[in-house]
Amino acid sequence: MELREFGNKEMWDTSKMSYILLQLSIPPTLRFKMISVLNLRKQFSNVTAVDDVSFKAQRGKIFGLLGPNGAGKTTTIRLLLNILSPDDGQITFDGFAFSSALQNKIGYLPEERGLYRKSKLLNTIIYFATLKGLSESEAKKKAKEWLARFELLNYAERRIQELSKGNQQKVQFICSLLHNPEYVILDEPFSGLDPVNQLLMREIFLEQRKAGKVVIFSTHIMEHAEKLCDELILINKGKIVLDGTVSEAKKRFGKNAIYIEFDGDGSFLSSMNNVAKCQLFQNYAELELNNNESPSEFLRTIVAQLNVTKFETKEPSLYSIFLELVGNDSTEFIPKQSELGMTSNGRVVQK
Amino acid sequence: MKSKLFTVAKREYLENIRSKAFLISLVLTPVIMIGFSLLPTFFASKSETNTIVIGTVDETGWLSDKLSQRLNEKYTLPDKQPSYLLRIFREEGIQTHRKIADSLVLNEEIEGVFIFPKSIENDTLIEYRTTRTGNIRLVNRFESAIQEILREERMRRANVSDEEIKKFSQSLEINPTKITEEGEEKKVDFRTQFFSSYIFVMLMFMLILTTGQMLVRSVVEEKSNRIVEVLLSSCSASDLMRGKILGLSGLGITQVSLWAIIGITAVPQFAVMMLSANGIWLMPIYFVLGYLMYSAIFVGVGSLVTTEQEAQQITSYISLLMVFPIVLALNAFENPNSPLFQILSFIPLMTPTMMALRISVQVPSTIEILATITLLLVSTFVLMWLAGKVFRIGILSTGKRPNMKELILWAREG
Repeated sequence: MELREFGNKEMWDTSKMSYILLQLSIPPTLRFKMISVLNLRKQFSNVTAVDDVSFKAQRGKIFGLLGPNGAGKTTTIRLLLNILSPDDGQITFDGFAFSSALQNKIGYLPEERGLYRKSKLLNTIIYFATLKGLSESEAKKKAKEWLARFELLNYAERRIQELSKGNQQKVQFICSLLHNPEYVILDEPFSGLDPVNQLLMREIFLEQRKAGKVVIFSTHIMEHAEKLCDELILINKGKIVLDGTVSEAKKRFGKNAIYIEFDGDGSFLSSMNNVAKCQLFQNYAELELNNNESPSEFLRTIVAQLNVTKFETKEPSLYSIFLELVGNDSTEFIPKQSELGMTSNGRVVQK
Repeated sequence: MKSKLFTVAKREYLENIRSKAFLISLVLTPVIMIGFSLLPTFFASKSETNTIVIGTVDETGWLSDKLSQRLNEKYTLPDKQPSYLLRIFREEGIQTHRKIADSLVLNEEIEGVFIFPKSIENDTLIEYRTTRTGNIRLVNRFESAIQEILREERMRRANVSDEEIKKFSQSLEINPTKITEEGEEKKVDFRTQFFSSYIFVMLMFMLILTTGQMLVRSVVEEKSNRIVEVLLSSCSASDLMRGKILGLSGLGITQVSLWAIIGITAVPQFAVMMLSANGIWLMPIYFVLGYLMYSAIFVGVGSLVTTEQEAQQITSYISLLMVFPIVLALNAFENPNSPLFQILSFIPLMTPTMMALRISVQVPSTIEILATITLLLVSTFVLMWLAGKVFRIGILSTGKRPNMKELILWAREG
């Protein structure tokens, strides 16, 4: 379906050795079937927002772009969308450089709500869809289908400002997916959604993956990334600090990690000698023991002081890897309870 | 990807034509314009409904009677009542009467008081005492009436016969006739001249102001809501910008056409008058170019600011520059080809209005017309191009307004 000429000028313009090597490192069946980013760099007047970032987001996989606020996620996404142009590096879509024809194949969800507040729901959706090259009648038909799926059909003639934040987010979602894009790029898609709608979004994510699309999404909430991503990169201050699959990442940071749930005051845990790290919550904790400590020995010492209801040795969560890599100074990492979707009224205590 | 430009234009047109703001300006603008032109005349005639009482302290014994008679002949109210009524203090002793008259003036029983001393028969100065020195019309009317009476009286005393006096005091009327190159003779009606250019300038001003503000509002909304990111992931910045200008221009033209239709059906003779004005065919050229130039400025400015208030401030200053020539309108009618106006005509931001004013009085030389149009064309292109560059970057940036240095950088990068 796609035109793929190897004589494509733009592709050979980017014929750096590293680019060829990158392509060769991928199995032939997958070659070019992805968004590939190589040595991307973008500098604003005094900050390097994106610094030598390379990754490949393959078709049929969900790719996570993680990092704290201000890490360069949104800039990276804007570069992908060609809203900004990079100072250096290349981005290719299935082997092709960006062209205006490609715009119709990209679906984008911005971080903040990008909707006309005073316009009507249906009109807005149709406008964005026609901008992506759909005819008006086609757009209208599909818009109604999507609105029905999101249970918004009754609101079709309402103004957007009358909608709740969560519903506005759903409309934004419809706008980014209605034209059935090949490349789905979503900036913080879960913010402002209740757990029920988060499930609906998840379902759609998996649908898109199944349809063989490139799905890239950014988040600063690790739980989402952990549950959804096939592959991920973690960026901080514009640089990649971690990449690979979720399990690879965990293996690499596989330490003597323990997860416990308990009743009682667990505050003493953080000051124990054989504990290297401690994420302490109201009634659970993630601990990292010193290298030569045995977990079962450790359990024996704490049961004397705590009523332990669950004890598990485990891989570290992405969240703790995060803190480790990004540093404890980035307070925006402390997840809100609602964002984590956890039942505990946990409070993060950092050692 | 041409079609995306039209998709943008179509939305801007349809969304705005349905908006309340558009309806309001459609109705309110003509009301305001008519109000501006009719209210002054309305109030001016309104002040003529009551007889004004004026005091005279008269030592001559005859001047006040003649004055009263002459005023009655010349000035009457619509209901045939005299416009002015004199209250005469005839006895000797100016000082005491002056005091009495003054207190009457202060009590607002009389509008003012004229002092005619005995010496007036040879003197040239008359005292008028009032609390309202601003009533220039009254002073002028009395001045000419008293002057005529005194002149006639002096002639009579020099034994000039009544017949000759009449001959001497005949007044003169000048009848201006305009000569055009076609050899046509046309009676010049000052009002035709004034209104055809005045209406042209006002229409352009209203159009630029309303669509300009819509442009700015639309840009600022998309910018502050981050809609612009979604848009830019779907179409190019230049398509977006040109689409906006096209769509909103269409809206402005709809508005002006509706006004024109209303105007023509309401007062058809007025339309004929306008169409017969000088060089009317040149007006649309200046109109369109001026409009595009200001649109470019508004779009550029809109992409630089983050709030609508900021935008309003800047745009109103720019619009003031455009209407500035209106201030000079009367001078321009007197002497349309003075060097000052020629120079002002070559400042692109003022060219359309300046030329509109001058053309209606006397069509400037062909060279000057071609030169101003060329300059306007070039600056419109340059501004459009610049606006595109600034728009592309400005629309994505938030926070503080860029300084001049950054703007230049943007223009180079964009």
